[in-house]
Amino acid sequence: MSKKVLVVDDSKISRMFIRQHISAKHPDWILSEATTGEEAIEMIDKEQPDYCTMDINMPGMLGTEAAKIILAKYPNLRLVIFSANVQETYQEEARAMGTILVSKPVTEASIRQALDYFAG
Amino acid sequence: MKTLSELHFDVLGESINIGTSRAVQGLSEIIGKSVQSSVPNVELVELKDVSTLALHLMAEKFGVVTQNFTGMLNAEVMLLFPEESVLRIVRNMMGAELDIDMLREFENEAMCELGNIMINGCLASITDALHVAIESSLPRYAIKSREEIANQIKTSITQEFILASHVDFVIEGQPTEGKLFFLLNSSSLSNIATVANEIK
Repeated sequence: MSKKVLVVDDSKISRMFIRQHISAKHPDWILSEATTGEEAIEMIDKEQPDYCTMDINMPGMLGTEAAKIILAKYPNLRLVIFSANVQETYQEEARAMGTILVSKPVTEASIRQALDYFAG
Repeated sequence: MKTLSELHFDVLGESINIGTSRAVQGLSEIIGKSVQSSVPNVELVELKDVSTLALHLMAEKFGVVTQNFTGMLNAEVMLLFPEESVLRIVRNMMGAELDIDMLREFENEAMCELGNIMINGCLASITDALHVAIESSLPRYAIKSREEIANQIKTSITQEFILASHVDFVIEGQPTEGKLFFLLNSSSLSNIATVANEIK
């Protein structure tokens, strides 16, 4: 069944790699992109995605802040924090939100980790 | 002037060693190729003593990714690759045969992302070892001459020391070198010393 994924990352390269890897596994999934946490919050009502990948360090608000706002509104959304910022503090913050932190770089292995989490 | 004791330098040096190895692992993952690397050589240099020679800047120009960190550790971190290695790394990252114009188009984005992954991977090793958290700025990338790099470091108004980690590595049979420079001030060194005392 086709799913909708929102990819939130300020890095064009990261968005491109995430899109490539997910599309290779699930060509029927519909992907949309946001480059900031604020943009993601705006898009989430319109796009109503099933899944979301969220970077942490972006211009404007931190991805973890955006994730909290989004998950408060859509608690059933499966969201992973996908970031190079792998400090233990952020891993704990992700766990406290009921999600996981997948460490960059975007590779087949890290995408598999995200997809496994999406699948529950 | 505040200096690090041998023990404190050992704690920080070891953390930077582990962090640099983690950064090299990040490089290997992002370019999808095996990377052999030397054991990082870590040196503490006062900014007044900085020169191209003291920093072992052999290439004429470098691709430099810079990120600032704030919190218990106020630091400016610079990741350097010789300019001639940069496009090779970008080509490996993109995983496709791109012409020179396309590589130049992706260079800034790709090097910022590579720097973000390598620098944050390295910093996480240090902050986790010291049980502290720090916040990071977005990465910035530029090509700079070795003299520009040395002058920029020497004239820093906020930092006083530089911890320089030098590592040689080989990507698919081609040797290159990478450098990670940590610019720190006295209060950051004091904080590190305090934390190192608690965990020694």
